[in-house]
Amino acid sequence: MDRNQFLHWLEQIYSTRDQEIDCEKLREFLPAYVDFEVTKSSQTPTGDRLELVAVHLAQCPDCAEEHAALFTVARMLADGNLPYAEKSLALFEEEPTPESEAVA
Amino acid sequence: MFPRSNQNWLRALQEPPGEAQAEALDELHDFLLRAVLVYLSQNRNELADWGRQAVRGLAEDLAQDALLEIRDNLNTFRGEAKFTTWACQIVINRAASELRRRRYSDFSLDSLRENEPAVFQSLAADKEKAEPEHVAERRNYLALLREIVETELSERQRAAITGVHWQGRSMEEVADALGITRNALYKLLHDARKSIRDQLLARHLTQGDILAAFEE
Repeated sequence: MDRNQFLHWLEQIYSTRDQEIDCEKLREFLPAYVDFEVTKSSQTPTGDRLELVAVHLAQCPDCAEEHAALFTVARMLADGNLPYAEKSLALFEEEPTPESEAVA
Repeated sequence: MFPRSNQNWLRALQEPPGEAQAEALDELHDFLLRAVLVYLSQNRNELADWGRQAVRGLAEDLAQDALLEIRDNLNTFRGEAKFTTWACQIVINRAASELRRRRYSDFSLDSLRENEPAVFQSLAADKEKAEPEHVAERRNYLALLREIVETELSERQRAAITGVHWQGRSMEEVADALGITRNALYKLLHDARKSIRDQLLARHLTQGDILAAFEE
């Protein structure tokens, strides 16, 4: 644990609430939370839920990671620029062809 | 881009097999594939030795598995979110799990226990830029935290804290090592945090007090 991890842990200890939602509940609330973040739509989740989700995300690295990924995609979709499969795949190297392996 | 309303998605997916359902399934599969590829490409440093065809295969598998899960769970969609956001969560969850499993390093519960003292030693030793009185304060706070962790928490809580908070492992990896679900691990850690917080507050120690000693 380095200094930053320690300070983060300390922050997590002191921001602990008596009642927090678990990962299953988070999973249930998250999509509407993300839609709200992306569109600020009128279908606002109740204030309680917003806070419960935010508290959980600050405490759970796995849920935070999935939240970030979901937000990215929902944002792209809302902006009409979710990349086509081939465009994302183009970021990966092509496999070596059998011929070049045979030469090697 | 995927302009169907929630109702339209549900109706089409729940149709008896036919053209309308097949079209909706194709569309949903296309969306899931594109969504999961955004995630995989953003994490491509973790797939450094993966070629394009291998990534395509992984993405297809994840999208296909998510599609089945979505079809099996349509009745749990309550319409609070956009259908695409709800569906996307399922494929992201699967992809994130997959990448985490690849990130797992070999470690055991025993190593979680043995690593405990070393964690605190390294922090106490980190005194290059600190004032001497801060160094003494740091040692005191670290000793106190260690004492709280050792006397107030269960062995499982200690192992959970070591893995997640001190070693920065994923919840899933530590949960697997402990033989529990991620959900149960969250509860275990939540109880542990509450105990530590209460012990610190009982000693009238605020976050600011401790932070002041660790300022650089």
